[in-house]
Amino acid sequence: MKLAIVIPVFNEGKVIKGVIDSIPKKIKGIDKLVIIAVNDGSTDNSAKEITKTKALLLSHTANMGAGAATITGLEAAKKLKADIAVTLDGDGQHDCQDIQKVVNPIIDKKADVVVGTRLKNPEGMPIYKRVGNIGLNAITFLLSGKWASDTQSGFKAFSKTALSALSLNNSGYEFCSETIINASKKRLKIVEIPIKVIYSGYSKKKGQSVFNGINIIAKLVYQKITKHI
Amino acid sequence: MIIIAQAFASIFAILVVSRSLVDYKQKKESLQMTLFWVVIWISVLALAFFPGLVDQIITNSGGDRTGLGTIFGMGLVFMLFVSYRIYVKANRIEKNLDKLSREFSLFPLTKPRKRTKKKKAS
Repeated sequence: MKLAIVIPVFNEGKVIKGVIDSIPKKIKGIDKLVIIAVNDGSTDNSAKEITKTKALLLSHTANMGAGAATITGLEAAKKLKADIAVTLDGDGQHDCQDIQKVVNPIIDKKADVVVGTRLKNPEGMPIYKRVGNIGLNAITFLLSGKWASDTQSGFKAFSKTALSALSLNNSGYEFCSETIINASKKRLKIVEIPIKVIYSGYSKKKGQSVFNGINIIAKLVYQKITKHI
Repeated sequence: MIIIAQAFASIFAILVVSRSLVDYKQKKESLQMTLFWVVIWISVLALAFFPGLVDQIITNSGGDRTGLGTIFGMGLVFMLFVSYRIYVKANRIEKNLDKLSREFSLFPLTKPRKRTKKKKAS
């Protein structure tokens, strides 16, 4: 099986090399591993740092958003004929050792989409982020009928079936909820796996703001009304 | 009715000002532009909470307040229509830009097409 690891990158020059280097070289059930780093119009030295690693570098000329960069990475995974694609954040908040955990349900054919949930063990997550996540989970549930404990997680795994079935369009963080809504609409099997989160001062700064949460809700509701999701 | 209008104005003011502040924080918007939207929406909130202000200003400057509500209502509907059109267009442009940017970045992964030699006409 071929696994593609997709990392959207926006101004992560300080940490991106470390993130890529910490990806395990061997994963059970995986023969081939390709790392795709999508540089989303970074203005720092992110692209240069990525070229020092074994990752394949793809670049957006301008900053299009985390969703857009992730979709580009997933499209690349499809082009490279990956059987499984895993997305993870470039800010170092995810423990790369958890990749095995999120791919296992797909290897065992028990899931099409695996969401690495931070909220089963939310230690270290700021309270305002927990509250914001619950609000966005509730909105996602209302729009999809599927309850997920951490819809905003950037750590997800997709089977080949999911990669070809999903039609994702959102360029911002609303992409996270869109994945659940779209997967539910396409009747894909969604499974949640608890993951570890590394909350450093750096990754806390990099997350979504409360204000952005309001905009995500407004966009999702608008798109549901206009049937774009 | 006034309470509904006030709630409505407050929700939109929060949405616009929050977006503007996030954009300023991410250096996507200038300080002047952020201040402009903050001042505009504070004015909208002031009018929503103290609607008598408009009549007072108009009558103080010698105007007639009859029918003013109708004019403001029509203006509001027109502005909503314009906002809707701009939102739809911006969405469309964003999607096209996304597509363009994606195709451009994925270009190194596309297999080069084999060139077929054209048979020379004898």
